Amino acid sequence: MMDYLLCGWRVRSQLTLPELLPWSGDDRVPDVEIILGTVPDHLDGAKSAGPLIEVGPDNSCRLEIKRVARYLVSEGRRVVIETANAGEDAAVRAFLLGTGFAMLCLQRGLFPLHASSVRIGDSCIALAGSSGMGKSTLAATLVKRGASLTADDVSVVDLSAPASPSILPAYPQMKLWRNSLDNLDIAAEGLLRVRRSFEKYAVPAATFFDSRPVRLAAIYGLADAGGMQQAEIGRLDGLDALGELTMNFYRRRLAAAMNLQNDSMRAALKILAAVPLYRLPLTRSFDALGAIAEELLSRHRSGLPS
Amino acid sequence: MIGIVWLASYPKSGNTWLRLALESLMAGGAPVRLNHVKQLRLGAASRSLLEEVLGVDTSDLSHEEIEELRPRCYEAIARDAKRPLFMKVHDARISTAGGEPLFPPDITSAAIYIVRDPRDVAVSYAYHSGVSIDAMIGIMANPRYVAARGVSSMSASVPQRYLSWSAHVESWLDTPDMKILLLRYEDMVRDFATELGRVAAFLGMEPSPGAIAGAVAATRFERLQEAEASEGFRELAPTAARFFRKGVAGGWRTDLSDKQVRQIESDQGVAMKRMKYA
Repeated sequence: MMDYLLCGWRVRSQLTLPELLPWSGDDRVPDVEIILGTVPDHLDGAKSAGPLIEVGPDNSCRLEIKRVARYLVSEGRRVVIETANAGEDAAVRAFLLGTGFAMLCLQRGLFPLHASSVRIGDSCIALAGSSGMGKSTLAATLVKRGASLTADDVSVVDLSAPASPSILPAYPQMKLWRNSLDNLDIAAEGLLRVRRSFEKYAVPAATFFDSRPVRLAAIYGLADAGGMQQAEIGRLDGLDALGELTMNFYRRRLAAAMNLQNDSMRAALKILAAVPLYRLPLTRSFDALGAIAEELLSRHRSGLPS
Repeated sequence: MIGIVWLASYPKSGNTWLRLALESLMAGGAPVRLNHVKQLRLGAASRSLLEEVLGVDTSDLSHEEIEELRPRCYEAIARDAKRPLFMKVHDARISTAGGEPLFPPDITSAAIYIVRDPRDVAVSYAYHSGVSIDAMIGIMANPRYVAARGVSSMSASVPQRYLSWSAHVESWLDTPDMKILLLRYEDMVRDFATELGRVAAFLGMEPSPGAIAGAVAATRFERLQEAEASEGFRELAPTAARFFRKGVAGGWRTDLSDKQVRQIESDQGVAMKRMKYA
């Protein structure tokens, strides 16, 4: 049994979670408990949210990945895990820290974005986009140039603070593919693979991580430049911005099964009232990433662009 | 249940062209904007689509797990659909390791299969992928070829089993339980209006003659090239400079050596004969 820090919560877990920082805060009652136990075959009165997920009437969520684990997440504070295969611990944790984490956030009224985020000075930027767009690689490029990591892949937006929206830092790890590691000059030796069958690595990033909640200064929606060389960063407004933001809402289908569509829309509007959203075209070539990272750093080091 | 219409082909065989034309046709023959086409969004192997349905990252799943889950995803998509859906496919029509069809027959409304002369495919696909023509000829002859394998890097698509060009053709055409329309790229180049009319009739659409003419005009090759030059095209592979390259039939006569032609004809002879390319 260990206590960890995740999004400012005290997480007590029977499963060892080397990705998370150990809890060093006050002696509060744990905010989230993760226990190893039995997860039922089905939830009573549940709705299907796709082939892998069921949502119960109380918005408890059941996720099953065959040959890996079953997860039951309820009340935003309790996770039961039944592992199927003790051999793939990293996989058991990957689904917990991805979809299971999103379930906790949605149950707690937080807005998870499919984005990596980095802190530059006193605020942070979120790099949003679907899988394979290069969120983690761009974040790692920024971290290499002096930014701090706030979250990789899923960034949790907190709208409860009276000030502008902030990001609750997740945990000090990045997931990078072999080609990104090579291009960032990070040695793969000694790194853990997320799954055995392919070269996607868990890269510890404790030295570059900042666990303090931080104001969200801008959201960049990563887009494929589609072969255009001079594609520029451009601000999106109105429905374009709303469309881009909701598209990058992490696990829309799950939120819909939890009847959270209206809450999500309200959260999106609230975020956009306070935070500019830009489209950032990427060429998917590593050569261009350094220049893009420099541009983002200079935009945000000298204060928020209008 | 409203089923899925699979728009299937080996790569570089006119799939995108047909989807652009269908988009225009459904809008009465209106012009299309390359990066805003609904019919281009639903690729059966798209990671973002599958992740939306599954609720988990596909890059945390093994290839076998993804393949096993794909039929379940298409079932969920078909169940939620409020109108017939078109879905682009480059996979061969395979069965998963568990022995079930990757594209479940009971949620399939029909399939349109586009075939193109493999000698032209070799040239176009080599350019698109940034590999030599000889390497591409080898890929097209590989009976176990998997695209977007994603072992050391990730692509926007999950891994897809293309098999060889011949096996791809046969997998789709020898499917007894599927209503299928065969189109030839060469016929589309020669007389697209007639071929689009066949597609419309097959799908039970009743477009006006003006809509067909409009869709043909909206997707003329020069027009697509101009649009790509000014707006870019999101389906472009990072390995190529442009997606809409030549759009001709028979370019292989100048682009392939005699030896390369003989190799393809030897590798793909049976299916070429069946498709009347030899």
